[in-house]
Amino acid sequence: MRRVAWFFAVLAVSPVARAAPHFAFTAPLGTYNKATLQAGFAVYQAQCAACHTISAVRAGALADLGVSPAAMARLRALRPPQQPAAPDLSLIATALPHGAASIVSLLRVHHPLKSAVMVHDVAEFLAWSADPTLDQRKSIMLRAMIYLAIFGLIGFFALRQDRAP
Amino acid sequence: MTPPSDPSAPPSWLEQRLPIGRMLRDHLIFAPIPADFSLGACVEPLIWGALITLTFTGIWLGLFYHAAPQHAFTSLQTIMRAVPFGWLIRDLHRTGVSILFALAYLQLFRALRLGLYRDGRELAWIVSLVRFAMFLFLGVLGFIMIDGAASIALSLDLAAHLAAIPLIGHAIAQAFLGAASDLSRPDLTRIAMAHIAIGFLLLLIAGLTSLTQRLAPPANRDGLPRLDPRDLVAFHPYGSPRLFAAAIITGLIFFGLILAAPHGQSSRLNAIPAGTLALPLHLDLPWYLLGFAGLAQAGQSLGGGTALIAVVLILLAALPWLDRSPAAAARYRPWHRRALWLLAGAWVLLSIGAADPRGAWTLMIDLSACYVIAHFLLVTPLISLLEAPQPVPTRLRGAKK
Amino acid sequence: MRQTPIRFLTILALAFAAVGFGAMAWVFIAALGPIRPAAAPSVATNLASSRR
Repeated sequence: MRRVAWFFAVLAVSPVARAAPHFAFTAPLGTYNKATLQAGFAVYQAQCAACHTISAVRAGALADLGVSPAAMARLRALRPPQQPAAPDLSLIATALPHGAASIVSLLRVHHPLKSAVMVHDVAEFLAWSADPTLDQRKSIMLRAMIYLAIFGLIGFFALRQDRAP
Repeated sequence: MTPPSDPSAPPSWLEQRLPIGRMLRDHLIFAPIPADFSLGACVEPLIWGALITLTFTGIWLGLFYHAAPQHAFTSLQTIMRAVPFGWLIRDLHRTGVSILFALAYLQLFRALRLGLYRDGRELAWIVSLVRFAMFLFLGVLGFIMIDGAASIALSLDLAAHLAAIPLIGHAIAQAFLGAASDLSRPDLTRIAMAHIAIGFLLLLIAGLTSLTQRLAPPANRDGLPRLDPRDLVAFHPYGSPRLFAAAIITGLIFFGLILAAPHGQSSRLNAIPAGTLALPLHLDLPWYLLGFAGLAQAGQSLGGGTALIAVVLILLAALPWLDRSPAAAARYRPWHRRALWLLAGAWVLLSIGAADPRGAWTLMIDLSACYVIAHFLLVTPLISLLEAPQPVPTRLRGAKK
Repeated sequence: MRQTPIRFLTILALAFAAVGFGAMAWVFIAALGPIRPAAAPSVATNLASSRR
């Protein structure tokens, strides 16, 4: 178990994991930063929500994020645009080839006035809206792998003990 | 596991009427296996594990999937976000498909290496090929069910390739892909029902594969047509630890893939819902279909592509009669062994080329497809006739105790 | 001749297998439970509305 943990600790700081230095959640065991997601939601609400929906995102998921009912009410007050030209952004981070990093480069090209922090935060928020169960997935699968490794060792030797000496 | 202590004791009520315990012991727990039972021999039972995983997760996904345009994509998002553990069940299903195909390709290559298609194993080989063709077809149907932009591109391409079959092609395309006269949009109800029905039929074919393999001479690494009784051991305890280890390693890879790259094998374009405005310019296929996509492209036309895929599958089925060598296993046939590695290399090049067929890769695809056809049609028969194999032992060589 | 038919490792392995199967069964049964509601009617139309 400790060996598995060491393996992942080494993996998490390896150059592969540091390929995208801005987003901790892109590392194999990295998670979202809740403060960043909240800030990113604020940027989305102020700058994007007038035109772009995130229709796949559940209200409950936003509430888990710490978005207050008042903030959601303000979001409701924004009129959806009459012409459906602006694409929905729920899954944009999955559709783009480099996920959140692609969102950052797109926003830098198209909206050069925004601060780098805002761009970073809204990119992480959109990555979350495309994959809100990432944190849960990583923790559950890691535990499942540790379980499998221990079960494997025990079961292997339990089956072997029936061999004639 | 100890054998029953008193064989003269009367069997239980159930056992008298349905000897399930005896069958389990004779054909599963203490089934005779060759003494060289290796990790490669574990692939076949692991395919069963993958099939059971896919069946159960598939049933559960079907509870929440709405097979209708516009709704299919949304229902998958509901599964991912609102169904308790829905994301886990979908990840087990879509990553499980990758595991299944990895195992299926390994099993095919192992059968080619060890000559597991000949010497009394012909029927088992052909049934296993039917099973493999069903894997492919189910993979295509499942990919279309996602109802994203890449799905629609694949369904249009499939419709065009099916319709290119003379006489019956258009009818087949309509039967599978729906009633729209131009086949521009698949009928998801039909696709989903075909996926489910053929999926359960597949379990039957997989059972038939296991049955024919059990009745055929035991698969062994020396390709021997019959084994000396002293070379057979009981599965438990001589094979079971190794199979268990193989299952655990596969499970660790499986879970690791879900952890790190849950949609690694599916197209990014499928994050965009299918619609008339989002039609990709090229196919963006999962890795396990790429080799066949390369064959389709090497056919130069729609009909040619369909024909080439059919020819390769038929040549595989005809392999027992194309291989004339007295030795079966590639380890005793140096030139045959090299040709098999060339075949594997050609298939990998075909897959890489089909992922992004541009520039020099189109030539590479054509060359690889030529070799794949030539390997079965010319290289295998010629080498098997001309090459004098090394002496084959009568007992198993690599028996592991 | 070993006389103990059931050994410690066997029991441990069976217990582990039971835990694993139990966890999977729990996941599959939990999935049949109530679906997390989509955005409540009062909550932002541009969260819940599908504009395709």
